[in-house]
Formats: sequence, structure tokens, C-alpha cells
Amino acid sequence: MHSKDHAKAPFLLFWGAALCACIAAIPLVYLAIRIGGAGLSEIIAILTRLRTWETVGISVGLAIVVVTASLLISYPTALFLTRTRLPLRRFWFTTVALPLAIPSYVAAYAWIALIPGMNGFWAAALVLTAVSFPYVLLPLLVSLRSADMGLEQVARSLGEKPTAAFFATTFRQSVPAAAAGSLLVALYVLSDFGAVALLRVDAFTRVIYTSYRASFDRSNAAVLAGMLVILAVILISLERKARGRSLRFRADKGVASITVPKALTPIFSALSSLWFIAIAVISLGLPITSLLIRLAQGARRPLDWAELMAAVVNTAWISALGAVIAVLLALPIAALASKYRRKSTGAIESISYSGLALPGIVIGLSLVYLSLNTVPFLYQSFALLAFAYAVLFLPKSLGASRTSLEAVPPALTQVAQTLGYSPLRAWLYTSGRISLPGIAAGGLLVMLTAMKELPATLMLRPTGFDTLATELWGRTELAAFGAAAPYALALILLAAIPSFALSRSFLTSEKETMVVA
Amino acid sequence: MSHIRRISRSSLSFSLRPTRGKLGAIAAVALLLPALAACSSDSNSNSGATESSETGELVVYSGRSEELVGPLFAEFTEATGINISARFGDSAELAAQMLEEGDRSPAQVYFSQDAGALGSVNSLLSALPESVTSLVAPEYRAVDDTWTGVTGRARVIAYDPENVPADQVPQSVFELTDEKWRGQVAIAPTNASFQSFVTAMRLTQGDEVTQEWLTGLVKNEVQSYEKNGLILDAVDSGQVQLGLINHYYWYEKAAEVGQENMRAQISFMAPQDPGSLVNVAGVGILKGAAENPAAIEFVQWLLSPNTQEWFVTNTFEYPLITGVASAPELPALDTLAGPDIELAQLADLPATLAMLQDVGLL
Amino acid sequence: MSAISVKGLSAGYGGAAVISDISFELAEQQLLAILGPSGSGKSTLLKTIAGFLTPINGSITLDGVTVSGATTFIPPEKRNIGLVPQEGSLFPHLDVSANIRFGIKRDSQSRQRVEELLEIIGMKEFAHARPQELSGGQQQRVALARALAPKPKLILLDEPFTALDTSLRAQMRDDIRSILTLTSTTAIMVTHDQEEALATADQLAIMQGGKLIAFGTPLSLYNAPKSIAVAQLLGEINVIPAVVEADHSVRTDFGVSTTQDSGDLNPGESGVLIVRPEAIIIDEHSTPNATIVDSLFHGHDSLISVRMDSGLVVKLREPTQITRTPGDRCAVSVTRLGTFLRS
Repeated sequence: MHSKDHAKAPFLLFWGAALCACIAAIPLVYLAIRIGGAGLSEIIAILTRLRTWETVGISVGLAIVVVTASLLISYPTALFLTRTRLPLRRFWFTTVALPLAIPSYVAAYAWIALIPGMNGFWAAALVLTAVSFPYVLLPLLVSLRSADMGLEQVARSLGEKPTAAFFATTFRQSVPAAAAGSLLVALYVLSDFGAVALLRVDAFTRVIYTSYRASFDRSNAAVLAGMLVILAVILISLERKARGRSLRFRADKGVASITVPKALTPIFSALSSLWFIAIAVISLGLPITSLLIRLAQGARRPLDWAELMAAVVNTAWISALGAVIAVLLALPIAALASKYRRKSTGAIESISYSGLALPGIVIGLSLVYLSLNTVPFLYQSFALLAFAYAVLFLPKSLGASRTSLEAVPPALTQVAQTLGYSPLRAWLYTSGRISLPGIAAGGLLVMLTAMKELPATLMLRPTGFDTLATELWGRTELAAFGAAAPYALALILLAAIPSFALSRSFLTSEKETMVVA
Repeated sequence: MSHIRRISRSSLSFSLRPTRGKLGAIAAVALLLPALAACSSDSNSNSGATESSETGELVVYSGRSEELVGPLFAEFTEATGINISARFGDSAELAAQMLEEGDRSPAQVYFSQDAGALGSVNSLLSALPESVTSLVAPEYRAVDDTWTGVTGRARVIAYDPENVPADQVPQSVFELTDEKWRGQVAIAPTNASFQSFVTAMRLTQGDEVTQEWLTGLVKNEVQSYEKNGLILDAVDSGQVQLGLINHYYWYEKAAEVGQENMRAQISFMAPQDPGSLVNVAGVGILKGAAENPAAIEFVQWLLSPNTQEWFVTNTFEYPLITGVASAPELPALDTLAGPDIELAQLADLPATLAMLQDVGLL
Repeated sequence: MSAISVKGLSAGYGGAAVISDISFELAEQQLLAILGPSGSGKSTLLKTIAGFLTPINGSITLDGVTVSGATTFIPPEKRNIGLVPQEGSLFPHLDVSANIRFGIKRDSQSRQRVEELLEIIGMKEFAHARPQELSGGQQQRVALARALAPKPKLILLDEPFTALDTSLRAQMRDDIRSILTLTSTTAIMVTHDQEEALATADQLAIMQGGKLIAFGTPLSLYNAPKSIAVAQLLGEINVIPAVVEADHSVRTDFGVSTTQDSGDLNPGESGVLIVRPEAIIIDEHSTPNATIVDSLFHGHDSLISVRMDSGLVVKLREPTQITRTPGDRCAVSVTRLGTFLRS
């Protein structure tokens, strides 16, 4: 970690980043307009309704349980992977991100098909944990891999037991990574609609959807969504605190002592393998098996391969385009936040994150409204859909870009400048180039999430343009679950590609300059 | 789907009239433009291809899914030469989207799953011509003629014969609050068809009775699901014994997995019971397309004997024009004789929602 | 013509000056060391010369061309100034020769230039090594070669040896010194290590509180410091109260003697004499006038504190052959008088 420059950021960078943050904040602008449309008495009525707080309580409770469960899964998993000679270690390393490929609604549906009575809070907690824990695991892996063992050795030499030494040193170094991952999981749970709806949990998003769907009362719904934004802002500031308090520390100026994986006793080896198999079965095996069973049961109409392939191609390129735009929008913010620590830059970063808690329908409607009022000729175009993905998922790419940029010493860019490179070129050839793996990982994460996105896609896609998610939706809407199964599987397979690449990039990253967060 | 033209929306709504919320919009335009300009080339080339063929193309927002009505739209194109540019989505979400689009909406026709959603956007719809309205009985269309029903769907009760013999299936929704069915009844309170049914109950039985009944349901540990299809799945797998759904869900699932594989069965409620409401999937023409002959032709075509026949065969829904018979396995529409209300009144949702929120179902 | 000339330079962050009114000139092929405690503004000065900070006031002229002035500002990439940061900061994604080639045009001569520089820094066999595979000293040498590659008018070295082990430092100092000489490069080096500054530099600039408080050759500053602060920064000193006599000689507890610059002293004036510990000796044959207080062993010599009978405590340095025990009596005298400073 390099000390941040307290200097003022260059004018262009600052305002470029501010502009990008404003783009990320488009949904907030819309919400503000709609909330403005609600009467004060209406707002008070919503805020004083017991039901509102009940559902908020359930959502927050769900977020707490899922984050806790993700941490409980991720810490042992990450320790096994980084510290032991676990059987098939490389294989497990490459699979850690794969559960991210399964959309929450597909996972929930698959579980229900397998265990018909499954429902309620704990069922939702299980399903949401299974699809979101890699958000914690991935940054944790990077953090533990690059953690300086020197400190732990010092603690041991001072008479601490191994576990106590771990908690006193390495664990504390990993807190920012775990906090960043936990933030993503919490925001994911707060904004999720698919799983909680299918598993019949009275979560807050369900109330928002009902408000939009049934009453067509957009002000009402906007007030509710505004509450989600406030929740998100609280979580974001908590994460910033966790990040700020424990900066990373090294024992000396030299090279950090690197972890040497320990051999496991046969019994421990078997136990750890069981742990990994259990996680893989719950997060990947069961949902996929369930879908395969549905596939085998067949559908009313034979599968149209051409239609399926068209959807695969559409999904791939539109989500890739969205990812590219998200990365481009996130870069100025990341460049600013990684180098200049000031109140104003912190605000820019926080604003960019706040949209992540919003359910897709809010983002979808906000872009419907704002695009029709500003660039009507782009309404329901590919450009707008890709742009919507970028707005929705920019924070995911921002975290990854920022962390990897932070790891690059600012002196490198200055050296390049003294060697005749213009500021922009100097940045591109040094910071930009060196943190490319991290930036790309952020892009992959956006692409992966965009593939699974449904509500905004339904609203903003060009008419007649089908992605795997919309085709899947069309079929489940009709209770044609057999016909939906191939689309669900195709979506998982396609999303597995960026997930796999994400895992790979962790294995091969030389200097651990990359963190997903 | 191959006959339905896939086009970009970009070419169809190029107007720059001032609208509400201008300030925020203007603030955002500066932000949106540069990024959009960078990636608009693909959509431009796309819209360029469609502009020439814009005549004879009809933009339909369809709450009925592509899997279901896609082939039907293709038949329309074949029969009339009019291309349909269809946008599929959830009926209610499409309605919300149209409200957000306001008079800039590219939609010309709105084809909805549900009368309630049609009612909620009736300010955007134009009055249908006599040539259309004369085809459908007044109880299945809007009083102001802004929309008409296309097909009818009856509320039924799905039951699990392994636990509930056919002769013990409740004949009235009022039986469902009986202790006997504690925790055994499934409903979909967020679903439009359930909400329409509650609205109908309020209109025929009064608010007090309805609220009492809903409270009774909650006390009786009624099970809430997200969709009709999920209720049917739950009954079919023995999770619950009874479920309130629309009749065609059962027929569609039976077609999917085979009638002999269906464990759940359905039963129609007694005539006049609020539970025997007949709701419709309907269609309306947006104001911008009021004079568009293609739009009118499309609506007429939906109400043509052939198309009505198609719905009967494919979705087991009730035809709404005279001269087309409903599916043989269904009781006749007139024998159902649901509660005596006008479907247009089903748009009176806010009071229903308030009640559902009150009892804790929403 | 001087290689670099700085006039009345003030600079800082957000309008607040961190350094102010700095002026100096440096001749070609000279090495200037900027010495000062941390926070004295030496890094800010370096950044301003490199062009990463715009001066608030004053000018910087390089080879007769103004690069920072009232109306001109040439950005860093056009100044032709090389930079060697702390810890080398090699580009981790490039190998050694690509690092060196980074700042020069890729043409027929670039390969030759890289080889030439590898030769100069003595690392031919490491051309394709990754920075991570190099030792700290090797990294510093590559960083220097990278900065030298475009033949800059001036090289800036920002605490280039801090990351190195003590045993390596002296070697590296000599290496860099000779590389700079070999390539006839003018250089400015920032350091907080006085020994390093004295041993390496042709010219020495001393900074404190954002001001340049002394400028000159290491020898002149060491022997004739203009202030106590400067004297202290360059090593251990004794500050001995003194009064100027009628004959312009100076009276201290050691007696009366004549200082180097006693000519412009006015009789009756009081002040202090700055005397380095190595200029005070223990004279075994004279009458004891002091008591040993303490003795610090330094290997090659020892630093001994004695209290003179007048009460004045002075430090002296002497070879370690003799053991001094606190409480022993001894006679001390000054062999070489220091600078007189008016109080």
C-alpha cells in the first residue's frame, strides 16, 4: 500500500471522475424526481407503516446472515487453498468463482424443483449464500496469498499460539478484503428479487416490486427504493471505515515472507476434500443436476437450437459491450480514488457505489425515463442496453480497478513522464498496464453479472432482441420449465466462461495486484 | 419467431417535446450523451435498416409471453403482410414502463395478461372502434371502450386428490378460512389475477366481508407464492392441498408434462361465488396509433374466429366471441356465471392493495 | 553557463508554500546533494525541478532555457530531466533491457544504447532478468541506467540508497558516482544522510523548514558552517561560548586563541565557537582540567564526553586504543578552532 497523495487531483481527472460518478448516479436522479412527486403525507404514511419496517428488517437480517455465512465459508476455504497442500488444489482454485455463474432465480428454482417444500428465510439464506459467497472468497484469497507472513512469525516468536498469531496479524490484514467482499454480498442480497420471491420471503424488494407492478404508483415505489439507497450508503460507509482503519502493514522494507503451503495429514486431507466437495455440491452440483432432470423430462415443443444459439450470441456480445463501457466509466473514478484521498474524492467513489443496492426494475425505469427525456433516439437501442449494464454494474468494476491501481507505486508514472511520456500515456504504459489484470477482472465481473440481468434487460433491450435471461424468463412465465431448462443451462455455461477466467486470473497473477471488490 | 421483425426501437420515437421533470432530465443529458455517442453506431446501423420498412410495422407491447404468442404473431404477419415488432415483458411491468414513457411511448398496441393492468394505463389508450367492440360482450370490455378482452380465464381451485377427495373440494372461497385447511391453502397475493379477484370480492361482497375473509386466511396460515405456476407446482408435489389459480395454468402444465402425470386437479367454484370470477387477457390501442389501420386490423384479427380457436386449442382459455366453442373439457363460460361486476372496475386496485397490506399479505 | 539555475523559487500544494525563496546554481557535470531532515522540503524541491509541481514564484533554468517561470511552464515529459526514485521503482512488467529502453525511441541505435548502458552499470548478463529477480542494488543501477538512456541534461535522485543495506550503500554510492562521472551527467540527489551527502557530492545544499540555509562545497560547509543548524546537520559539534578580545582573538574555557576569520570580529562581541569533536584532544602531559563523563564505543573511534572544571561539557573523538573510565581526570585542549558565530 502506498501512501496517498494529499495533493489536489488534476483538474481533468477530478472532473472526469465526477462526470463518470454522475453517470453512475443516474438512477438516483430519477429516484429524486419521483420521490419529489410523492406527497409528504404519502412519504410519512410509508415510513410509519409497520409492514415497511418488517420487510426492511427481514432484508437486513437476510443480508447479515448471508454475509456471515459467506465469511464462515470463505475463511476456511481460503486458508485451505493458500496454506495447505490440499489434494487437487489447483483444480479447486480454478472453480472458486464458478458459483457466480448461477443467477439467484435459477438457483432458487432448481432447489425448489429438487425439494418442493423449500421456502422461507433460511432457504433464501442458503440459496443466496451459495450464489454469492465467491464475492468474499475471491478478494480474501488474494489478500491471504499476499499477506506478509513475517508478522505472523513475529507474533509466534512472541509466544502466541498459531491461531492467536493468525488472528492478531494475518486476519487483521485480511479485514479490508473481507469487508469489500461482504459489501458486495450485502448489496447483492438487498437488491435481489428472484430468489426471495421464489422462496417466498417477505423481503423489501418484494414490496418495491409489488408497488411497481400492482399499484402503478411510481412515487410510492420510489420512496421505498430510496430507503434501499440509504441502507446502501450506510453499508458503504461501514466498508470504507473497515478499509481505512487497517491499512496493510509489513514487517520490514524487504521482501515479504511468502506463505509456504503445509502438507496435510491423510485424515485432514480427506476432511478438507470433503469440505470442498460439499461446497461444490451445494453451490454447483445440486442446481445443475436439478436443471438436468428438468431437461430430461422434456418440453412441449422441441428445442429450437437456432433460437438458443442466437440468444447465446446476443447475451455474450451485449454483456461484453456493457462490461467495456463499465470499465471505461470506472477507470477515471478508480484512478482518482486510488491516488488522491480527500473528502471530495471519497464522495465521488461512494456515489458510484450507491446504485448497487437498487433492484433492476428501478434502474430500468430510471433509464426509460431519462433516456426518453434526453436521447429519445437511443431509446431501446443496443447502445442504451449496454449503457444500462454499465450503470448497473460499474461499482463492481470500480472496486477491482481501484484496488489494483492502488497497488502500483505512483513513482512509476512519474518516471515514465520524465522519460518523455505525456501524463496520459505515462499512466497508460505504467499504472494502466500493470493493473490491467485487475481492471480486466473487474470487466469480467461486470460481464458475468450483466449476462444474468433481467428486469432492466426486459425494459431496455431493442424490440425483438433476446438474451438467455429474457428467453428463460419467457419460458418460466409460461410454467414451461422443461423448455426453460436448456436456456438456464446455457446461461450457466456461458457465465461460467468469465467466472473461470476470473479464477484463472487469480492463479496466474504475479504480483497480486488484483482484487475483486 | 422468425417472421416477427426484430428491430431497434431507436427509429420510432424521434420527438423532442418538452415533458415533466425537465430539470433532472436536462442535468442528465449532459452526462449521458458522450458515453452514448461512443457506442451508438451499432444501433444507428440497426435503425437505418428498419426505417425504410417502417410502414406496415406494428409495435406491440405484449404481456403474454413470446413462447406462447410468438407463433400467433407470425401467423398474423403471414395473413396480413403487416410485420409485428413485439416487445415481451411482464404485463404490469410493461404498464409501468408505458406510464414512464408517457406520450413518447413507441408502443402502438398493448396486449395484456390482465384487465387490471389495462385499466391502469387507460389514460394512454384510445377508444376502440365500433367494428371491434361490437364483437365482444360488454361485460368483457372497458366501459369507455379503451380496451377489450380477447380471451377469458376462470379462477379455479387446484387440489391434491391424494389428500382431498374430489367431493370434499371447497365450492366457495369462504370455506378456505375453515380450521380444516390450516396451512393448506396457497395464494399468490402479488399476482394481478389474485388482486383482481379480491377487487371483485370487494365489489360484490363489500369491503368489510372481504377484509374479514382475508384476515381469516392469514390467521389460517395461508401460504403465499409468487406466481400461479408455483402454486400449481406446490399442489402437484403435495406441499399444499389447495391453491387458488387461473384455470389454464393446469392445462398448460398438463400439456407440458402429460395429463396422466398431473397429480393436482382443478375444480371450478360454485356459480356466483367470488372465487368463480372470469377475468380476461385483453388488448388496447395507444392514443398515438388510434387511426392506425394496422393496429385496428390486429385487434380485429385477435377477435377473429381462427385466432380465438387458436387460443382455445393452445391455451385452453375461453373464447370471447360468439360462434367459437370453448375447449370440450371446460364447463361453458355462461355456466360459470361469476360475480356480477364489470371488469373495468377491476382497475380499482389501490383500495385492494391497501387492504392486502393491511392484513399483511403484501 | 550553469547546468541549472534556480532563482527565488517557491512552491507547494494547494497554494501553501512548502519551499520558499530557493536560489542556487549548479555547474555542468557536478553532483549536488540536497540534505535536510524529513519535512524540510527537499522532495518538494525535487518535484518542482522535475516539473510535477508548478512554482508559486521564481524560476528554474536548465541549460539556459527557462523550464518553470512566471510565464513559462514546460511539462515534465519535455524537460529532459531523468528521475531515479526511492527504491528504484522499475516497471515490474518489463525486463531489464525493456526498462532501460522505455524512454528512448526504438530505432537502430536503441539496442546499442541499451547495451552500452548495461555495460556501464555492469549488468550485461541481466539484460532479460525481471526486476523481481534483482537485488536492491541492482534495481537501483538499472533505474539509473533507465534515467540516463535518453541522455538527460540533469538527473534527479530521490534518496536512492535508503532501501539498501548499510553494507551495500557505500559501494552503491561509489558506483553511482563513477557512473555519473563516466557519463558526464549533472545530477541532484536528495538525502537525509549527512555522511552520504558529504562523501558523494561536489556541492551541498542544506534545507530546513522549506528554506535553503546553506550552499557550498561539502568541505567548506563542514569546516566553516554559517549556522549552528548547518553545523549540526553535518555531524557532531561542540558549541562553546566565546568572547572576542581586544586583539581580535577569541576567549573560551580553553583559553585564548585566534580563529580563521577573526579579522572581521569586533572586540567585546560575544558568541559561540563551533568545534568538531575530532578537533579536541586529551593531552596526557598537561595538568588535568576535566573529568570523563561518558565514553561511547564506535569501532574505529570512541566519542567521549568530558566535563571541564568550568562546568562546560564537551565531546571529543579519539582512537579506541585507550580505555577511558568515567570519573577519570584528564586534560583537554583544542587543536583546531572552529567557526565563530555571533549570538
